Amino acid sequence: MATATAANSNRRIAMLKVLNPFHIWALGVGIVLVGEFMGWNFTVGKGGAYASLIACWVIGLLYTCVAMIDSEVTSTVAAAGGQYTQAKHIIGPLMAFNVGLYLVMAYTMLCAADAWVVGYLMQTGAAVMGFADLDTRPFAILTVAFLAWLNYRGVFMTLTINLVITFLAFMALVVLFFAVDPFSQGVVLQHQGLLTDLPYGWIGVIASLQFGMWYYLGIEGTCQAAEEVRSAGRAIPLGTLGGMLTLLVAATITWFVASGLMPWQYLGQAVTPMYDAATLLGSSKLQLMLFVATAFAAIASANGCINDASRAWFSLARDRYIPVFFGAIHPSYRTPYRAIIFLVPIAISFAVTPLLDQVITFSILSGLLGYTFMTFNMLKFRKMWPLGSIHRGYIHPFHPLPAITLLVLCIATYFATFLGYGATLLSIMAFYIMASIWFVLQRYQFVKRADQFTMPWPRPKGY
Amino acid sequence: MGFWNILTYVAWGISAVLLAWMVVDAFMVSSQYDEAYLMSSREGAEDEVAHGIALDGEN
Repeated sequence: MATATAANSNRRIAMLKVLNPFHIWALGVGIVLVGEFMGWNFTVGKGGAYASLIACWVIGLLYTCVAMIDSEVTSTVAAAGGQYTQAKHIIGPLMAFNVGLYLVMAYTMLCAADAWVVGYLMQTGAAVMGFADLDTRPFAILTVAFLAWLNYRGVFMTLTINLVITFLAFMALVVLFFAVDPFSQGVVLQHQGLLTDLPYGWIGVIASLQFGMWYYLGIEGTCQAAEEVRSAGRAIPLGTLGGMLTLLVAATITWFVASGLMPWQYLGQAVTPMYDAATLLGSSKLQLMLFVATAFAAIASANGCINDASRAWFSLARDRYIPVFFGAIHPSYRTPYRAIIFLVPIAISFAVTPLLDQVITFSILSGLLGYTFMTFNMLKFRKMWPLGSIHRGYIHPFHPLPAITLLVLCIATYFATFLGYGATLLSIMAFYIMASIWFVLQRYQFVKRADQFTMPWPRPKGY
Repeated sequence: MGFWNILTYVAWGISAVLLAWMVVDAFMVSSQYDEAYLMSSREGAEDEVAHGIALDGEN
């Protein structure tokens, strides 16, 4: 044992580089796709069916900007932590700490919501089979425990499973699309009768932007795997942009099918709109397929969230922004095992809370704060390392238009959130301000400043 | 006791086993390896150990 310890002390450990672009696609789309099965339809409640379609494409533009910016920066920063690492290298420690915290909170809360969904689906399935009031908690906890165990045991199997179940869930949406005879209006789909004008006017369209994020929330999580892909310069842009294309198709299909089958007054408050759509078609096979696909989508999302939250927490610890204890890598499985274990009780406690509404809002807002800061990251990144000064696996077009567009759309979405969840928005802002004060006054003294920057990058322009 | 009640207990049981397994394994790793080694990763650094082979040999 002493020999092993002495030998180990002179060596470095690293996470395994085993992932390919398909795993990156599965990570990004896997986190998001549950939003097509449930959640997106609250946009309809805010502003009607047309408002939902506008939100689908406007927020789609926001996330396309996010995907392009992420692909460029992460193709140069092949490190876990994603946007946290970007902020650390480009802006500085305080922004990096905040972005890291946004990531951990966004993914942990989303994981909790996904686990709750699995419990709810089990309860619904039991009710259909004649057993009322099934306790949802053991199934929500089992979801988190099993997926955490899977993540603990290795990233390759974790994301390979995500690839399979995410693909099956996506195919279920495609099958549903063809099942409604999409090219013949009035046969199954009733858009002409169901689509009304904007019931709340244009303010309803603005309000719907908040829940429009459900169509795509989490695609930026692909960056967290940058340290575990064989080729970050190739896999991250391919997986992320391919994932974004998949989601644009899935979101549009979802809206088209659901808005042609259900009136906006029902659709705007439905819990499982795509399952309801299958039920309306009267086919028990479709009903079962959508039930299973919703469960797969929720499991894939929770799985990706555990992967991403643990990588963000691990990266913060590795740089000593939080206790370095959490920056350990498992010597056999090569995963950030302490970060994974640490986040399990937090996810479970929120998964069994009755405050699901607040949990989801916390997740959305944390993501939105991260996107806002990405705009400043991108502008400074191109200024500090102009094209040609550093190797980029991908160069996004029309700079600085995507960064400016992203900032404008983030501001519009803040306003939308303020309309519906003003008090929550302000309390979440207060939470992050308090955390920042703690970091500056109490924590930054423990950070080994030079150790944070080990990427072999050239000196930035002007420094 | 019906099927769903049994399923509920099975879910509780499997959850407890999986969580306990992770905690026990984490303690065993901490007792077998040097902390400095477990926390020695650096961003941008390449792996110095053959994937999952050299480490097993060291034990």
